[in-house]
Amino acid sequence: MSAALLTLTQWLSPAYPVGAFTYSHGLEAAIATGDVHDAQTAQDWIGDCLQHGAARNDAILLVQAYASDDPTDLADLARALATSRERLTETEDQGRAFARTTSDVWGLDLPPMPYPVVVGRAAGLKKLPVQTTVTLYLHAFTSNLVSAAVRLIPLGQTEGQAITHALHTTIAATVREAMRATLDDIGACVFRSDLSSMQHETQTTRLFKT
Amino acid sequence: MLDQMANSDLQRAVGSAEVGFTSDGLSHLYQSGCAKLLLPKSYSDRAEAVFVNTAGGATGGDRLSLSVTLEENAALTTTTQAAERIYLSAGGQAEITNTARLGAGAALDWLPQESILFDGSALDRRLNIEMHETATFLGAETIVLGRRAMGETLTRATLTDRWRITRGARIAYADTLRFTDPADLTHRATLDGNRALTTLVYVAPDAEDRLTQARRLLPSDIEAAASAWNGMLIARFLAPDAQPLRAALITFLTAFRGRRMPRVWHM
Repeated sequence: MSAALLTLTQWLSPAYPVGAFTYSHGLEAAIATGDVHDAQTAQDWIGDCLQHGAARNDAILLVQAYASDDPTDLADLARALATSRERLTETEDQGRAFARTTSDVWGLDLPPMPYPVVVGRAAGLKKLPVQTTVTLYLHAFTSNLVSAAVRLIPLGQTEGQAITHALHTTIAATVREAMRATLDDIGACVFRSDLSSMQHETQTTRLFKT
Repeated sequence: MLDQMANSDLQRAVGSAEVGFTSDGLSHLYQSGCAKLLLPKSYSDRAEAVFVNTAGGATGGDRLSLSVTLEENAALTTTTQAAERIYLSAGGQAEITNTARLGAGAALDWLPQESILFDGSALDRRLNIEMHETATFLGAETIVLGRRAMGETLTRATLTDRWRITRGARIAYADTLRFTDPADLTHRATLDGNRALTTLVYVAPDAEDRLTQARRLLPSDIEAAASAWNGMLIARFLAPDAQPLRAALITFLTAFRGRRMPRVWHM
């Protein structure tokens, strides 16, 4: 277990070169409009992305890709599920970077695929525990957005860690859902998060790519 | 209506309609049960088909479907005669399955009037579009969560609304609006308490070239945004209630299409 856990921790740590820190998932636009302006609104917004948004769909796709012999169709579906141009960039660019590094270091044959699909595929090929994979994937998603909120609102580092800690139960609940979900359970209702991702494209001052 | 639906499984409404067009005009029409299709004389340059649900709404167990086939270079606008009301379910979901197949150079404008979800309703809807790379699809679906003017607030309702668009052999767009508890829709990242939302999808060879125009046509009095990528343009609209959304959509669609709205939209 410790070898598997070390591999997954490495893959899903902020130091893994997928460039996660350059993507805000539209959060930068929601902060610019004032929708997200303090620790509570940041926690609520990120929590909804986890529970009702793209992160939940990502978790379902990851679990399905883990079990699939040929994730090509899942990769196409993951691309088609992008709700804006920047959301597609986010999932494709991180997926491509993950595939390149992981193929080189672990000797896997990973074509460029959207991020949750390629992570699920890599974990499946290495027979790493899927539940841990999806848990750490959602944790990485969460802590990345929290760190964007800390920089942009701004918030104190301790406040940021308190948000991530408070979202542990949401992460765990989404993991449980994804573990028993089918592709038919994919769906989201974070309409204003999707709007903010589109609005980010025309935002004049921006630190993040998305 | 509600009593009738609650009292008997046997009286659940089932209706399906099919329509086919070639570039010369109507080639196929079929209707059964509570589904009817009207083909009014269009006052734009494009044929129109108006879907009518003679059951006057849908509730748990009802099944409705519309299937549209457009052969090479055929063009059609589809709409609905009235807003579709999704009533309190005594059990099960209302199931609506719509499909369209578009051949080379075909053009479909899918412009139903809004679907209004009543308290206690459960809707499972699918829209499947299979289109040739050179075809054009414009679709806009509006969901209204109760009617504010009538003092309706949803405390209990479920929705799964799936769009799947296949272009050539590959899936190009997949979008599922899904909620199981209306309380979740009060959050800022979801609907922030707004009651009316539209997703508009334009898939066409010129889709990305039209993003500047689409952004210029977005309303300023309600929330809206647009994005374009991979030969698609998506716009989303969100409003406190049905009326401002409808007004914004009519303005947007009239200019974007360069055509008047189907007549039923103005009745």
